[in-house]
Amino acid sequence: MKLTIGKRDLQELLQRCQSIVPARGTMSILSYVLLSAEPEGVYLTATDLEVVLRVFAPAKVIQPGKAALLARKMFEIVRELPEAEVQLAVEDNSVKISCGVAEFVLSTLPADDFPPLPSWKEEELFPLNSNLLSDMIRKTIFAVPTTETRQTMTGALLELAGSSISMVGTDGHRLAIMAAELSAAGRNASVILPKKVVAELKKLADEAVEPLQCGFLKNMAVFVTSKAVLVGRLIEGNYPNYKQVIPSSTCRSAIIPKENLYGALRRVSLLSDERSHTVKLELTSDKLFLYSQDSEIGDAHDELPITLTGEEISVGFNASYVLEALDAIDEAEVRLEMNEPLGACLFTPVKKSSQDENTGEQPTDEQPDKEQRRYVCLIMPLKVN
Amino acid sequence: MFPGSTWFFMNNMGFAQIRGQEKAIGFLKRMITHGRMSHAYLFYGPDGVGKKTTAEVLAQTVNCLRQEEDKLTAEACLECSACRRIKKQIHPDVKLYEPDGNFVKIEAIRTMQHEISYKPFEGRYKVFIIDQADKMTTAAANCLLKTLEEPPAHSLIILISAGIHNLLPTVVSRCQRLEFSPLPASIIEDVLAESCGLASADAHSLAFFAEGSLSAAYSFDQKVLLKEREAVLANLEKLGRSKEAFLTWAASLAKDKDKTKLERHLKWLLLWFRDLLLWQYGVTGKELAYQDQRERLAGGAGLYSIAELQEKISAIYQSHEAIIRRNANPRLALDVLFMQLMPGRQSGAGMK
Repeated sequence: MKLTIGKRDLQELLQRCQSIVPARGTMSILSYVLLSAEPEGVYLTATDLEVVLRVFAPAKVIQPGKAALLARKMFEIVRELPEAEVQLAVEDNSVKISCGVAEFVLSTLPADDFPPLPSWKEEELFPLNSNLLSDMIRKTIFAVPTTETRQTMTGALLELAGSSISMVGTDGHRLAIMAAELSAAGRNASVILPKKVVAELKKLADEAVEPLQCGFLKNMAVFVTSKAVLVGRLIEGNYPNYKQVIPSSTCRSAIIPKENLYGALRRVSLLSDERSHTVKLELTSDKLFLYSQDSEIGDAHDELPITLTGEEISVGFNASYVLEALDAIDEAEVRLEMNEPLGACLFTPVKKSSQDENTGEQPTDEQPDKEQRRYVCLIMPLKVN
Repeated sequence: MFPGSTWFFMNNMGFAQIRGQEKAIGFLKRMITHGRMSHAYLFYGPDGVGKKTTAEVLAQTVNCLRQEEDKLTAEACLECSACRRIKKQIHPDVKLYEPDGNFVKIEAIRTMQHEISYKPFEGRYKVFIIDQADKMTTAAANCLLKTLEEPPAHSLIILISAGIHNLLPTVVSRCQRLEFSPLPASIIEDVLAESCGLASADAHSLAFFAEGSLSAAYSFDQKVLLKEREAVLANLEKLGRSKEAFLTWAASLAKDKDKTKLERHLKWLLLWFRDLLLWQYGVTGKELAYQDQRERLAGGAGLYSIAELQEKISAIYQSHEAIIRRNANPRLALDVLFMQLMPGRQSGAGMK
């Protein structure tokens, strides 16, 4: 294998792979990247067996071929090279990297040792708006736990049914659901994507200008852009039945300006209990009172004007859960809905356009309400006295 | 004694190349072809008889790329990329867990439980092999219970253990048990002769020395061992004639801090007296460890009665126990032993 590639291009490819390559592990082949030189350019593949990322850059390939190169060392070497063309030549079990008069020889592993990328057909892929995907991930990923004994919850659920798409994340204490309608009818699929896959997918969606080409294979999800391919391994098993915990109707509802609530919560939570971050919210017909107390330091109090429909109520929350939910809401006002002090509490954005037809709460007529509600964050309250 | 070394030694072993375990392998093959694989197996039996190799071949068989998608056969091709990578232990879906230090720790089991939750990377089954499962800590074993009971789809857990009694009964009852038997000496002899190019008489002796464990036979330094066998034979000759000769022998053996050499000499000695006993009963064929030494055996057998031979054998056992387990003074114990072994003396008479 022999090729010439711009230093900057090669560095960018290697840089992109660094977040995938595991820091340490039992399989040494995973600390390598697979370099494959094809007539059209260079492909670099990295994997930690959870995600596989393949990136592409055009290059002048003199002789095609494949080899596995040490990911970190390659990156460190290429980063320090002068701005010029880099020549790579692989022979037997080593690669020669030359740039100007500088020359490096690194040992390689056979390309066959590298875990293979799954194969898929062009017709298995369908386009997905990369903006929407990135937004869905941003609004749900915070609820996906990193460690959890129930393994199915360590991923985000991506569901496609006809023309609707939804992503769900939950850690058992809170639940974030983002749903949307697609312009074209997509496929039917329901997969659990590991958190790392979702995080890498967001990166891919953010840098893509065109729609992502997506596909769901037997054990993998594939996302393709013109420059990169991301393959995510799926989690086995059934996602918890999250629909069950969403109350079908609520008897209390308050509309609160988001920024004010956000500010007040941050202030009051300064004196909340170190471990539980408990903040007590007391909703009255025209005011929201916020209290927190750390038995050793002191207590805090703040209040906001609100409009409450339904009876007065007082409820406790983990302030950081509420703050994260508010972070995910882009609209100026947030609606807080609940039935009882220890029941699920829904945080939804209040859409300006639909506000008029939605002012009167109609708990019995739930169908039209649900379709408009594209983002919901459900938080379980804490017990407070 | 030398668990799992065959894993690295042998090239391209399929089920057909695993010798002496026809029962266990026949059972596995039927399970595979009938599509009735259990989700968890427990392979138990002495070390070095093919448990780990069988686990490896099973992993290859279910993940071989040349197998048809929906109908598995019991033969892996051993040549495709998947089979090769399983052999090299770099297949994404086949993981091996071994004791970290003296124990298989709970962290290893937790890692396994995380990995088992994914769908397979490329194969049909995710295979998790826990070697020396009897070395699992109680916490690790308890942690494994839930996964053993209800593993996610497409997973195959194989526990490997010398016995089933050192495992929690709750673990054992959740696995399909498969017993591996010690290998007959004839099989070890064949394999040693074929793969190490040993003379048939040498291979025969070493096969008896290995006591049914192929990996033990492989891990011996065969030249050293055969030399020691000659030394034992030479010393036995002297034992009959000179009273001083055995004292020099005992001194040279007791000199080494490392007791493994002494242990090997005792084992050769034991095999010699075993052969003498068999000879007295009229056995002259392949069952003798010193098959090539018929003349010496015939000569030696004449010196002892059957009852005497039985006493000598138990004397060797006792000294071995005393030196290795009870930390007796090797020089003293050997002096006593060799006196006991001298022809024409009753056991214990040497001390008088």
